[in-house]
Order: sequence, then structure tokens, then C-alpha cells
Amino acid sequence: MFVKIQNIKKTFVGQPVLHDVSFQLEQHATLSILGKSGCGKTTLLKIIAGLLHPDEGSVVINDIKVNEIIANKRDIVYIYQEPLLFPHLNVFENIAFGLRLRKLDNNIIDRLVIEMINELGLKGHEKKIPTQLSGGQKQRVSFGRAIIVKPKLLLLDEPFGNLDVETRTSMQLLFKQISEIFGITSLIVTHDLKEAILMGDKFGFMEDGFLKIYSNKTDFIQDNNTGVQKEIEFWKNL
Amino acid sequence: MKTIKGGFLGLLFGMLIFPILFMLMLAFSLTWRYPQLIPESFSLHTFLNIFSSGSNILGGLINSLLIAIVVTLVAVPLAFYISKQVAANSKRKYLILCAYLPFTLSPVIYAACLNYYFVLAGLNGTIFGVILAQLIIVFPYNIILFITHWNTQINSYSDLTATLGGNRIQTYFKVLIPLSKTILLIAFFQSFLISWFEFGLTNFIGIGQVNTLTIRVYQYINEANVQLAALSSLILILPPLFMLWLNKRIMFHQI
Repeated sequence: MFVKIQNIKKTFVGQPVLHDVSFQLEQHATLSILGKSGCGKTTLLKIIAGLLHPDEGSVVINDIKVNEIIANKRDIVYIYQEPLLFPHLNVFENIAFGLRLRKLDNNIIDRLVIEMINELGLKGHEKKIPTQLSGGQKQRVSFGRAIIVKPKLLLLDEPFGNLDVETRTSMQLLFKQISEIFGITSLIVTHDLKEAILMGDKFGFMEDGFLKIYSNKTDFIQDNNTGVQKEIEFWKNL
Repeated sequence: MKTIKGGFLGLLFGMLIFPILFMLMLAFSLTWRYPQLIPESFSLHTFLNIFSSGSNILGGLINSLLIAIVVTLVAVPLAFYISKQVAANSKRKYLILCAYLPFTLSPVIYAACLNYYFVLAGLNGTIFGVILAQLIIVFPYNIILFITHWNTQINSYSDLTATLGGNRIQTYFKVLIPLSKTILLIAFFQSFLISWFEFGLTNFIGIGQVNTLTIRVYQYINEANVQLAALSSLILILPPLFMLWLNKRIMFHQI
């Protein structure tokens, strides 16, 4: 397996946040983890990204234990709910940011960024600064900036949470499409049931720091804890 | 309504401009006797005296500039970096309390408390001693100024840069400093002005051997040398006025 998360435990000021969290994920696949706010989803992502240290357990990427590798050397990009575009850079430079950090040749950067801008449907917006973009466009730039550096693993922390329903749906589809094109391995955490089902190839449910992984979509849907059955009942009885 | 507003603005303008005009006339007057409203004759003699060898004003100006620039260039970047560490520290409440200490005691009393150590280290009466003493005030001031700047969002930017592959130096120079441009400008201006106008602490640690422009102004007033007092006061307010103008230009440019 490409990603192996083994027995991760984390406690904050005596309060356990993650209990023995383990899962595995193959390359180029997306794991959707559904969970309410405060269930430990963000903590798990930050531990995998190297932004927090686990009390116990290991993070293994491509058979390499990365626990002791600092965040900027892990090749794992974390996407926040907010697009967090750099306000002092335009669209082009925001997308080129990770490539510039790697000190790539300017011609290569130009070519890759233009390709990415075209894939994201942002042609004509290159020179715009973040305040001139809509919410959906900002999130596209944020994806582009993350994907262009070809991370081993992409972590998405409720990335569509701030978007309206219509934009959210189009962004979810765009992300699926881009993930396939660039062969991205990703882990998305969300509290949105529909989003979890739409985005994932594999599924998990997190509650009070415990993570349950399902072998397939049907098991995830049929588990009463996930809330899918309640949702189906609601729409049936409407 | 327009007349009241105009009158108020006129009054405000007069209050700001009149002292400067008055000092200008005083500095360049040759004779100004009561009850004349304006000097009877003007001369550049006092002004040209600045550039004469051994001029106290020029020496004071150079010392003031040197001290203010060094204090600002040391205190602001250092406080910018340290405040980030303080904000992330679990004992930040106590550390922030320490930063307030020089202000709760008053800088001069604080200097008196530290004087023993300055004497012991042979720093009394030296420019380095004055710079160090001023840093004791300006550095914590900047810590207090920056501490609220390190909020969740800026920390998220910092984390995001790390996951995109940025090392610590890249994170500072490519993200944190550009994002903190406004507060950094304020910090630079404020620190320069605190140091530039500092009197008590400089006088205490400088023991009369480090003559800054502020100290010169007080000396000339004590000596009743009104022309030189007015001229050195004018020079004293020039850099702040220039910085005010520059600050306004930069801020408006940013908007």
C-alpha cells in the first residue's frame, strides 16, 4: 500500500483526540473521511502532513516512515477550507509558488503553470490578484498550487466548505477530473455526506477520535452511524 | 456647517503649523525684541554654525540618527521573529507579562535598576550602552505590537508554505514578511520615533557623554540659547515629519 497510517494516538492537555487510528490507501486513490466538527479529522491530517507530532503511531508513505521528516520535506500538501491564496501574488505566481520554492528553471515554471491554468479553466485570469477572484476561482487556484508540485499525498480539509452549493458541486467534479489527470493520491475529510460519497474511492467514518474504514461504498452507505440511511429516509418521506 | 468645519480645520492647521513657523523665525532671527511680532532681522548664522567643526548640533544629529537606526534595525526584525515563538509558546502569558515590565516600571526607573550592571560592564557613557538601554524598551514594545499579529490565519499560511516545500527562511521571506508589511512598517516607524525622541533613559545611561539631539535641545533651553534650541528642535522634528509623509505615501499606495 502506498499510504500506511498505523496506530496514531494524540492527546491534547489530557484529552484524547485520536485513538489508534489506522488505515491504508493505494496510489492514485482518494479516501473520504466523514465526521462531525471536533471529531479529530483536522488533527489527523496535520499529523500526516507533519504539522503536528503524534504521541504514538507511524505515518508510512511509499514504504518510508516519515514521522521524523519535517513538513517541507514530506511532499505532502495540505489544502485548507480557506483557499489561503497569497494576497501579494497574482494567480500565476500563486500557482507557481511551490515550483519557485524548488528553484526550477523559469521556462519550466512558465510552461507548467500555463498548462495548469488551462486545466483549471483560469485562462485570462493569470494577472488577477486574489481579491479579484470569486470563491470558486480562488479554490481552483489553491488546487492548482497544490497539484502542480506533484505531491505524494494531497490532504484536503473540508476544501469546499465555504462555497455555495452550485460552485461546490462543480468544484468537486473538477477536483475528481484533475485528480485523475495528474494521478493524485488524496485524503479528504468532510462533514458533508454527499461530498464524502462523491469524492471518495474508499470511505471512512470518524467519531470521537475513532476511525472506521469501510471495505466498499455499500458498507459505508448501509452503516447507520454514517447517517446515509437517515438521509435516504428523509428524502423518501418528503 | 462649512464655515465651522473650515474654522476647525484652520484652527487645527494653525496649532500644528504655528509652533513650526515660530521656531523657524526664532532659529533664523538675528534680533527679535519685545514688542515686535516678527524678528527685526534674519540671519543664517545659527544655521551655518551647524556645519562648523565641533558643532554640537551636528554631533547630536549624527548620534541620534545612528542610535535610532541601529535600535530600529535590531529591535524590529528580532521582535518579529521572537514574537512568533512567544505566540506559539505554552507559557506565552508569562512571557508577554515580561514584555510589559519596562513600561509598568517606567523606562527611567527601569534604567536606574539596571544601571549597576551597565556600570559593571563599562557601558555607561557609551553609544553602545545607550543603544542597549533603548533596546530594553523598544524590543518589548515590538513584542507587544507583533504578538496579536500571529493569529490562526497567518499560522495557516506558514504551515501551508511548509507543506508546499518551503523551508523556514523561504517561509519568512516569501510569505510572512510580505503578509506583515503593514505592521512591519508601523513597527519600523514607531521604533525609530521612540528611539529618536528618547531622553530620560539616554541621559541616564549616557551620563552626559552621549549627546543626542534631544539632549542638546534640553541643554540649549537650560542655557537660554533660544536660537540654537529652536534650530535643534526643528532638526529634531524633521525625520518624524519625513517618516509621517513617507508612511502616508506607502499606506495610500498599498490601498
